Parts: sequence; C-alpha cells; structure tokens
Amino acid sequence: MNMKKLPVFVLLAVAAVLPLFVKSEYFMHICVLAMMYIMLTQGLNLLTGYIGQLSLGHQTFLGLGGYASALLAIKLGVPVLLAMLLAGLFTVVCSFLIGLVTFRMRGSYFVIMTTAFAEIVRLVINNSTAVTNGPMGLREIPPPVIFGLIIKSKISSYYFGLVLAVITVFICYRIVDSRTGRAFVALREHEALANSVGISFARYSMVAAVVGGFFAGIAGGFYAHYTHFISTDVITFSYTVTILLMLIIGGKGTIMGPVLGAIIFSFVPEALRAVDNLRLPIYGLILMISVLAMPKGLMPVLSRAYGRIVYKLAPGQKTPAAKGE
Amino acid sequence: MKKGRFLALVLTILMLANLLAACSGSASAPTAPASAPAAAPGEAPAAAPSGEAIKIGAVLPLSSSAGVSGARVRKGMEFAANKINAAGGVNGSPIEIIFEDTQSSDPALAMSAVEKLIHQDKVNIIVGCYGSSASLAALPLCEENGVVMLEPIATSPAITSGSEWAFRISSTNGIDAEMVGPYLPALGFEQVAYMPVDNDWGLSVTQNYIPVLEGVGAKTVTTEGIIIGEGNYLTQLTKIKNSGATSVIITQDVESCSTLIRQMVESGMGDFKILSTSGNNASMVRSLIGDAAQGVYFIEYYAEDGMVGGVPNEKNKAFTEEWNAANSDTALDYFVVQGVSAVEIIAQAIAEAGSADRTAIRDALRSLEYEGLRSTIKFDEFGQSHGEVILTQIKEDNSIEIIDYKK
Amino acid sequence: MLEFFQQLANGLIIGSTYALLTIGLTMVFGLMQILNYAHGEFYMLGGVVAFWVTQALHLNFFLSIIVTVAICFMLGLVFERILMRRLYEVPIVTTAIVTVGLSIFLQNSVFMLWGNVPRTIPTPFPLKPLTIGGLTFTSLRIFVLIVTIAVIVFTQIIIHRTKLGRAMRATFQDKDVAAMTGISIRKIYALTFAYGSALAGLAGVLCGSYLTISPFMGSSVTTKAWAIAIVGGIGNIPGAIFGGFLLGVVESLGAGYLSAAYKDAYSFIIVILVLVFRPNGLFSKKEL
Repeated sequence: MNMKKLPVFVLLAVAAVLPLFVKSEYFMHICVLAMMYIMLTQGLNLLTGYIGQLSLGHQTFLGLGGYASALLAIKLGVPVLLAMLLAGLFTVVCSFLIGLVTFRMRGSYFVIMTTAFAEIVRLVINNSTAVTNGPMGLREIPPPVIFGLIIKSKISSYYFGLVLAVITVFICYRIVDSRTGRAFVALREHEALANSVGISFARYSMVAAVVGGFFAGIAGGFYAHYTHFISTDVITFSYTVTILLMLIIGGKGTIMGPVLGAIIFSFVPEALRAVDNLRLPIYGLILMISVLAMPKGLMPVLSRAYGRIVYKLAPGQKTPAAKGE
Repeated sequence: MKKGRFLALVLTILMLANLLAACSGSASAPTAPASAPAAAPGEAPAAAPSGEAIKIGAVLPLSSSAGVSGARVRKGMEFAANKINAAGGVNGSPIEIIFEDTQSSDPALAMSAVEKLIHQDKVNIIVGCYGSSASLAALPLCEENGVVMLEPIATSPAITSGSEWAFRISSTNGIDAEMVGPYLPALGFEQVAYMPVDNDWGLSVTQNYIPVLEGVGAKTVTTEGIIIGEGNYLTQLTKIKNSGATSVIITQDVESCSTLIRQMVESGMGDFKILSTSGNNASMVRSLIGDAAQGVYFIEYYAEDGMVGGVPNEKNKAFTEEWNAANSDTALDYFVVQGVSAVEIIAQAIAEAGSADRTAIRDALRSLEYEGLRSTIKFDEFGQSHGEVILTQIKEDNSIEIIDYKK
Repeated sequence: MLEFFQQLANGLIIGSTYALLTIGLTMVFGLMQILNYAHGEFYMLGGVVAFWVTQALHLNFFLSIIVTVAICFMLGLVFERILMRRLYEVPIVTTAIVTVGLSIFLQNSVFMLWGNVPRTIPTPFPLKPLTIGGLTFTSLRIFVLIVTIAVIVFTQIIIHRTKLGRAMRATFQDKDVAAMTGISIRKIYALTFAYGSALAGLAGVLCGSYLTISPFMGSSVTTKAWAIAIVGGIGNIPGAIFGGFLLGVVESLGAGYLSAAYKDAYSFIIVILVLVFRPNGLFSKKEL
C-alpha cells in the first residue's frame, strides 16, 4: 500500500467503525451534518480551490436540491432515492444555466454575480408560496428507503451520508487527478497560458460547476430527507460562510483538505456553545486568525508534518509533501 | 512502514478524540444553576435546594437581529429560576437552565441545539424554539424522544395542531384574529392595507386576519410584503397612500415596526389607523419613536403595570416592583413575562407531578392551571393556552391605554 | 403621475445614502484590491458611535455627526494598521474570509457590549412632513440629501484639486511608478481606507437618524454597496455615485410598480444585466 494514501484509509476506517464506539445521538447528529458538509465543500473545491474562482453562491444548490427532492417526494410520491438523484440532475441544469452567465466574469465580478444569483433564488423560493410553501418551509419530508430499509435513525443516516460522501470524494479525486484536473490548475495558475494551449476557461469552469452543483444538490436532498424539514434559511449568507470556511481552513485545492475542514468546522461551532455569548465573536476571530496564519489551510501543514514523519521512519519512501500543491 | 502506520493511526485517533471531547465534554451548562441571590435582610434564608437539578433546555435566538427579544425571554427565565432556587427549589431540587442560541431562529441550528439538549444534557423539558420555522423543525425531534416542547413566543397555528408533546403559552394569529378581528372595522379598519414581514410569521397573519376581517365587511385594499430587516419603506407607503386604504395592519419586529410607523408620519399618513399585530409592545415602540407612535393600536398579551384601563392585578404589581428593583436596564415586558411564565409553569407542573420525569411533566401540564402575571393559563387538548389578548393604544399624552374593543 | 414623481424622489433620497456608502468601498477596492465584506460594519459603527456621542457627551445632532465621522476615520486607521495591511498582497478568497470574520466579530462584539435594544439618534428636525409641489418630504431627509451631495463634491475636490488626491490618482494608475516618484504608498492606502470608513460611518449616522440603530444594521448594506460598486465599475467614483442613485430609483420604482417582495433582488438583477452587456461596469474607464 502507498504511504501517501495511508491516512486517507485510516480516516475511512475510523469513520466506518465510529458508531460502534460513539453512543451519543447528538454527536452522531453532528457527524451526519459533517457528511453533508463534505459533499458541499468537495464540490465547491473544484471551482474555488482548483480553478481559483471564489463562489459565494454554493449554498443555492444545496437549497435547490433540498427543495427539489422534497417536493418530488411529497407532491409526486417519487421514491426518495430517485428524488435525490433527480434533484441532483435538476441542480446540474441550474448550475449550467447560471454558469452560462457567470463564467463570463472573473475575480470580484464573479463573486458578486454568485451572490446575486443566490439572493435572487432565495427570494423566488420564498415568494413562490403555492409551490414551496414559502417562508413556512416544507415539513414532514419522508426519510430515504433503501431495499425496504428506512433510513431514519442517526446511525443509518450516518452510514448513508458516509457512502455519499465517499462517492463524492472519490469522483472529485478522479476528476482532479485527470487531464481535466490539470487543466483546472493551469487555469488557476496562468489563464492566458492555459488558453494558448486550448484550455477554455468557460468550458472547464462549467465542468467544475456542474459536478459541484450535482453533489450540492444531492447534499441538499440528503439534508432535507434527514431533517424532514427545509426552508430558505439554508440559502442565507451564513451557510456560504460556513462552507467557505471549511474549504479555506481545511486547505483549498487539495482533496483531503475540505474533508478535514468540514469535519472540524462541523464541531467547532458546537464546541463554542460552551462560551455562550462569546461564541460568535470568537468564531469571527478564529476565522480571521486562522486564515491569516495559514492562508493555504491545514492540509499543507499536515502533509508536510506527515511527510517528515514518513521520511524519518522509512527513508526509502517517497514523501507526500507536495501533495497539496 | 509499520511504525508510520501506527503513528498515523494514533494521530487520527487523537484528533477524533479531541473533537469528541470538544463536543461532548466541555459544552456544559453556560448559565449554571442560577446562583441564589442573597435573601433579604432579616429573613431567614431558605434551605438550599439539595436534590438533583431539574434541567430546562432553552432554545432561543440570542444573537443577531432576532436576539434582541430572545435575550429578554432569557432574562425572564433566569430571573424566575433564581427566585425559585432562592426559595428552596422545586421539591427540593434546584432549576438549571441551559441556553442554546439559534442565531436568527435558524431551523437547522435549532435542531442541533435540541439534539444536544436531549441527548447530551439530558434535559427534562425544552422551552423553545421562538421562531415558527425553528419550532416546527425541532418538534419532531422532541416527539421522537418524548420531551415536551413548551413554546413561549412563536405564533404559527401548526405548532399546536396535534402533537402530544407540544405546549404553547403564546397566542396564535388565528386566536388573535378571531378575538380582535371582528371589532376592528368599528375602530376604523375598513379599507385595510397589510404590511407583513416576508417570513412564516407575516404569512400566518395575513392568512388568519384577512378572512376574519373580510367576513365582517372590511376590504383588503393591498398587501405589501416587507423583506426582513429592510429599513426604507417609503416606496411601499407611497403605494399604500395612493391605493385608497385608510388603515394599515403591520406585522414586523419592534425595530422595523417603529421605523415603519415613523415613516408613515413622515410621508403624511398620520391620519391612517395603524395596528401592530402579535407581540410588539406599545411601550417599546413609544420609547423608540416617541410622538410618532401616538394613536397606534397594538395587539398585546400582557397588561403592563401602569397601563390605563387595565384590571388591577396585585400579583402583577408586586412582581413589577420586584423586577424593576433587580433589573434597571430591562423593562418588564411581554417577552420577559413569557420567560418568567415558562419557568414558573414548568416548576408548578413538576411540583404537582411530584417528579421531573419527561412524561410526568407532560401529563401534569395537561391539567395544569397557572395563575400568571397575564392571566390564568390552561392548555387545551392540543397544548394551546388561551390567555388574555388585549388591544392597547398610545394616546395623545403618550400614555398607553387598554382599549375595551368589544364595546 | 404624482405618485411616480414621489417614488422617483424617494428613490433619489435613498440613492444618495447608497452612493455615500459605495464611494468608500469602491475606492478601497480600486486602490488595494480588498474585497471588504466588513464595510457595512463601519456603517453600523457610525450609527452606534453617534448614539453614544449624543447620549454620553450630550452633543447636539450636528456636532455629533462631525465627532462621529472623526472617530470613524480613526477607527479606519486603526483597523488598517492592525488588519487590512496584511491583506494587500493576498488572494481574493483570503480577503473575503478575513473580512467576513471581521464582520461577524464586530457585529457580535457590539451586540454583546452595547446591549440588545434598538435605538434611534434624536434629531432637532420636526416629524411633520413638508409638501412641495404635491410631493411629501421631511426636512430631515432633505438635510441628509444635502449633506450627501456636499460630501460627494468634497470628495471630488480632494481627489482632483489637492496634492493628496494627485498622489492617490497616481497610486491608482500605477503604484510602482507612483512609489518611485516618492509617494508613500502605505500612507495613501491607510488614508484611503480611513476615508472610506469615515464615509461609511457618516452614512450610518445619517441613516441612524431616520431608521433604527442596531448591531446588525450593516449586514444587508454591504452586498448592496458591492452591487453598486460593480455597476459603476470598480474603483470608479463617479460610477459609484451614479450607481447609488440608479439603484435607489430602480428599487423605488420596481417595488412601487412591480413587486415589493423582490425589492432586494432588483439591485442584483441590474448587476447581472450590466455585467452581461458591459462586463466592466457602466463606466468601464477606471478613474478615481
């Protein structure tokens, strides 16, 4: 086995046996949400981490996917798994359409465009009361059923989420590790040069957006069917901030960075409940300090440390230090 | 190779263990068993409560814009708990309240908070979740785990519509509309424009008031939704001014409601009849915008001591003095009273049941009769209380009068 | 027809404060490439400081405006020194996260320290509206409009008629060349950021006199100011002024004649349309 991939497998193994050792329902609940965040950050990572365009609209697809899946299941009685898949395809179409407009922009212009679409979608959902139940949100969304098994308990939801998250990470890894992924990085590092060898910004950004949109849609469906409730609150700015934070602090432009970020920042706000009133000021400080101290996130730091350990213990091994970049 | 694998494993486990600890260990009660205030001099201090603490989980918006009123509920709850603990607790057990923040009543945060309170803090009962969406999202969790959710503020009728674990001490827009609505045309609300906030609360007001008011002959001229947190209403007001409406029914938080009323005066709409629905208290609006609030009607649930025309209530009077002596910075208002009532009701239910068991509390609440600061609170078969709904008006001399609207 | 002109007038008055908010933002972005998501917090601080000044120091409304603007200018210098300075050469993703963090920090710190009750700044202006040619105004709003226009003119004078303004324009066009001619880039940056903060603070006092002040009043204005900055062309002050008035009018007419429920969306729809047809904003030539 390759030393470079070892920690990934260890993490996966720990994740797989976690419910055997953890008896707290509350802890499992946070873990389930962490799975959703892994799907979200992984998708955003393609666009923001690899291509380098900051999107503040990723939560839009979470909301769209959640609403689409819930409505299909409630109003049309579509089986939940199929509804989630269809919701994913729906968000693919949405991200394609939005991408047609937004990918004409770069940098801050792109950022504002994504904010603009997020706000417009939120207002449309909020005001289409006849379909979406407007600000009341959708309630009593049925749980997923797989082979007659109802995914309702924390543990079954956790495993369901884990499977989805692993699939997401794996597919994103395959994309990043392919010609497409190298084209992403080329665009980030030197767009003009990339263009000159035939790598089109609009085309590759669209690939990233569509894949990211798909997983965000699935994550939205997962969330809606897990919590049995969805409202436009998921399309608000605070969700964008959470997702982005996970991505940046974990390490954008790496595969495992966003995963770590998602896990850590699913728990940090919960841990901060202990400090009561100081919770949000401290959260703000953590944001500022950690990003300034580690602009590339945790991942390069961790992989360097890991590389040193491997090198010391087994000098023959290739170091994985350059994994991040 | 082998060592490397081992180390990586140790590191990973350490990291996860840390997270686990962060999550399950440290996040304990922030507010603590409220420290008993010193007993008045001369009085013998009551015996300190010695039993196992009764844990009340409170899920409220404590930060961001909705935190303004959420923090008032919290103050009321803390005050009531301190008082009860100073007097020896409930059946010898002290009350401990664990507050969780939902920021601006975010349903997802409310759900996480409820999960934490039920499974980790093992609370006996939950007070919350303040916002209708948050409460509706969290209610199924309470049902699943057999914990009562006592709702202090939210007004959506759906909350008390069949769950045996839901109890509510706030009114609903349906009840308000039925009680006050038929009398509104006589007060000048005949050509009505509605200005609801664009959330669940605003929506439930229009859904409930419009049928009642139209049933008694009032005409709905227009409905102008207001985006939450918006500050400039001149556009909508200009529209209403030219629409033929002569009265406005506002559903907004206290901040927006005040701004809106002032902008009505500024736009030359001073002669419009104005009604603010559910929850805004006249005294707060008056303190914000002064003379601009004269003539405005408010639907309220708590007759503050000092309002003109109220029924004298000795308990209320005594409590107001006690409150003002202890809290110079926060006036006793509806939100505070809801907090106080919630804790006192729970204490009474536990005392009557003789047990703080989750199911015992529920059963005791069913038959409970609580003599509150507002009025007697009793729950119907759906857990809905039918307390007092009053209509107040700010008069020319800035006094607040309780209107006998049935006249 | 009267209603139309009333809506137009409402839009222009609101637009003037939008313009005031955006000038600082667009200058900071144009000069230092900082995507400042905490801009609205200086607007909030303006309101909070002004309330404090009127209550604690018992200054009258007009004096409190001057004192508040001065305090916000200082706060701008302090924040530039502590934080913004570290963001000049970093990617946009980092600046966005750091300023979002700053925004969360400031909002909630003020919430903790300042309490939880909304407040208003008392003004000497009468509540009763004036009617001019069938249109209704309050003297307070007219005062706000006059102050805003005065400040806009003042800003233009600084930039085009003073030595400092020349240095700013030079830095804006090419900071390396500007540095070679002996201009202190750091000083220009610090002053620009402080000036932007002072303008946002001024907008906060002015709005706080007819709206309410709360720790969270800034969160909605930041994105709006960004939208305006983009419409006007980033770093373009005349563009920001025009964009502010344009947005005020469009919001007012849109909410008046289309649907008020989508009022917040109009600014974004304009942004999208402008960017699709004129990707560099309405005034694509960069100028301070």
